[in-house]
Amino acid sequence: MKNLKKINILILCLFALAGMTSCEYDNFDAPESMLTGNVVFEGEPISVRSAGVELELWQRGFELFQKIPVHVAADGSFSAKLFDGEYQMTQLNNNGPWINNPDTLHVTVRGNTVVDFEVTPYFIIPNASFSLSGTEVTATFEAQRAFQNANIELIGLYMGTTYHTDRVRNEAAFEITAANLAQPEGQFVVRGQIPAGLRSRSQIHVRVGVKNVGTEELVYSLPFLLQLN
Amino acid sequence: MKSINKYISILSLGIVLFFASCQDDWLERNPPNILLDDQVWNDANLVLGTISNFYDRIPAHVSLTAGWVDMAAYDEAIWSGYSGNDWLNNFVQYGFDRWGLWDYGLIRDINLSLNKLRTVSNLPEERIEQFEAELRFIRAYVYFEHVKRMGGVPLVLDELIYDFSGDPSGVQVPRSMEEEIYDFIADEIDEIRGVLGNVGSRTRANEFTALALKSRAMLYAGSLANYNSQMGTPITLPGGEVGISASRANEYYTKALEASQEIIQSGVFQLYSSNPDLGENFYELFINKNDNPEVLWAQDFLASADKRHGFTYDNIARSVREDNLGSSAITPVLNLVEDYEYLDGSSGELNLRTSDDSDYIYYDDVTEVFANKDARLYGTVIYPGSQFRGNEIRMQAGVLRWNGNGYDRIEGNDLGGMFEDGRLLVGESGPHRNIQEVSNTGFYLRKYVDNAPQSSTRGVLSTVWWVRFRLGEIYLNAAEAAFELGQVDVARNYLNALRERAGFGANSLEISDVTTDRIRNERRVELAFEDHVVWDYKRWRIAHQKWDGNNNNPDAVMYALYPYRVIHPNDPSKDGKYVFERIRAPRFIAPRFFRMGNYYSLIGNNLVDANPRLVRNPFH
Repeated sequence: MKNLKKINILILCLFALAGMTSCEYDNFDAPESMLTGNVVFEGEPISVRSAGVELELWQRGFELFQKIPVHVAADGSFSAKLFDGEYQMTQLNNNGPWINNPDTLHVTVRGNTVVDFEVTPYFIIPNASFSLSGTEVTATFEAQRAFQNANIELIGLYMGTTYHTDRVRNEAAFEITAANLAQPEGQFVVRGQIPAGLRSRSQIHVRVGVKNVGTEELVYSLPFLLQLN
Repeated sequence: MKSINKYISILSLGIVLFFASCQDDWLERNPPNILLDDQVWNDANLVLGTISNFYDRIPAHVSLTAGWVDMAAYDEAIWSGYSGNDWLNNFVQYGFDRWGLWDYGLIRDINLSLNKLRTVSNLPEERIEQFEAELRFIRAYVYFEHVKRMGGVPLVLDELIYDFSGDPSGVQVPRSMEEEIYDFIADEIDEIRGVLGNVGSRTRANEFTALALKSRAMLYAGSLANYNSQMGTPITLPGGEVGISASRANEYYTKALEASQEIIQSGVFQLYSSNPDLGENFYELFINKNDNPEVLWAQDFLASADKRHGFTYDNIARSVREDNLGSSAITPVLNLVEDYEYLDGSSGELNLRTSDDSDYIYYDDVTEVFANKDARLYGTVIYPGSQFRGNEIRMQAGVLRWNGNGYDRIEGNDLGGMFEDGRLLVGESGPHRNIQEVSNTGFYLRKYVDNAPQSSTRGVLSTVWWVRFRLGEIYLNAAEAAFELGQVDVARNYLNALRERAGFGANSLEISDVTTDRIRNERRVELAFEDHVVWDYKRWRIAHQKWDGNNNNPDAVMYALYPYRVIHPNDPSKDGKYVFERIRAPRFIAPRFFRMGNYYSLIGNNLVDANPRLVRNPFH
């Protein structure tokens, strides 16, 4: 009986060993090709709220036809790790701070691929500058219409502790609505006091944004690292 | 060997004889495990059984059995139960597919039943008409559940049968306009209300149930027409699948008011007022199933049929739980508690600090801060020191000990544990910052939590019913519709009736007090935890402002109230008293974030692939 048990265990081990060696961990290789690029207007990347704006990748020819969501980072860049193949890139409807355009961009991925996605934003903020005096931040920037029928709903200065500073995630927001603006576009100045909780820090992130009437997302300047002490 | 052959011969003979003795239709017997059409549709009990099945499948976003955890996903409560569900406090944004519903399986089954009743059934005509009316009511309700989530959906009223011709376009029904679905609901109810029968039933649809659906649906349609058009950029689709013209608002509001007033003026229902203790009275309104005069339609449970639910097991206050696990899952937040006004009509904000904010306000008793509040607060929420099942629910987060210059805050991990002075350190019911199944907010849920003995054990469970329509909501629907139609005095009277039951004096509101905000707040405090808040915010188009994902927005962040006992040996006016701290609920991480794409839920790409005529919802 004792011997039998031993043999049984040995046989069991043998089977287990055979079971482990006989199959591979995975049937497919993971995707390897990186698709990267920027959301651009006239070649310049558009800064947005990180993880707020989405592009879609579609691939036809397979039974399952589902989009691959591609989130746009704060600086307007995006990336996706894909299998080589033919893809179609579109905007998520009425999602970004640009005019809705149902056009499709055909993308061929062969190894690492770089492609820029053209949009027409409502506004662009070509040069924003930030200055500090005492505890007050002064943001000076130009909001230019990139689309003829754009109208400012509000402009804002946002302060935060991380790179991901925007209208949703911030420690302080200073906004001026259209009614209180001197002109419909052009140069604007927004001032704001650094909140008490941030003053002891050595640096904070600041950013300005422009919101078009009725558009959920804003166009931003690049997050700027402001040295405090 | 020989004998075996003999046996085989006898057996063969037996088999032959057996076959011979059968009748011709031996192979054409009815199946013993399936009921056939003419059996089902000619037997009123079996038809009723089929309809019961449909009642049971009515979709709900939140009910006592389905999706109740989502009570902790908005601004009424957070999750304090099992820590594996902490995602309810942590999700960064509502997904576009949240609230999604596409239950054409149920709609098909109802359509099929309507067809069979007409073609197969030999039941008396008035029975058939009554069953038809009931089925059409359920179908209208299911379409309402769809339209409030998805906007206009394909209006399918017959079976769709594919003919295998290779061209599926005949079964690919496009979406109807949003207003067409609402109009369909109103028209159906007008047609069937007279033949619904079921007079006096609280669980099967009768004329008043149908009118209640009309009251709610028309109010939703009216406010969509009204408030969507007031947005900077209204949410619409070119084909009208989403978006109702502002010009129809008055028509819808009028229908909502008429339907509501018909229910109210019928006199069949009264506001529940059996208990002179107004707080207990409001609680009993949901618990009492005997001749409840306020409930129009409920999803009932029955222990003898083993239809029970674990809502009480999951949500009872910690110190009175009877099971060794569970409890404390849905815990109301301070945001909701402060929306209950004081009975003198002043704002419900709790008085926690002196007017110059230099010190706490010291209370002799923890319940004192809640004195003279709207009785609906007691009926909805268990606050520190209030009673449940005859026990005081003691809540104390710790002690504050004076050190000469300020207070040292001392908390502990031992529920019901004592401090070194021999008195309570932490209440038996918390609150506690991180232990699971203890309130994280300083409040527990009372509404819908059963007070029957043993109902919080997994062996017994609860049979409290889920109220789908009640007269209180109809009053509020009438008030809102009347207000939007400019009949402010009518609105005021309905609001005052509800407020009087909550302990406010008669006529507590003047005409000038009746504002949009007041009506919305009345809905919030009266209908909390009854699956209204998210739909109300959506149809008023304020969800994206209330829940904007911003940490600095007090509407998007959930707050807790932590009571402390004060130890201050040198100052008898403070020693042994209680103070309160308003803090951001410790287990609550991510502010509520509702995006424009959440107003209408995602129509999945699998559906669009199957039916390319479906238009995607805005922002998707």
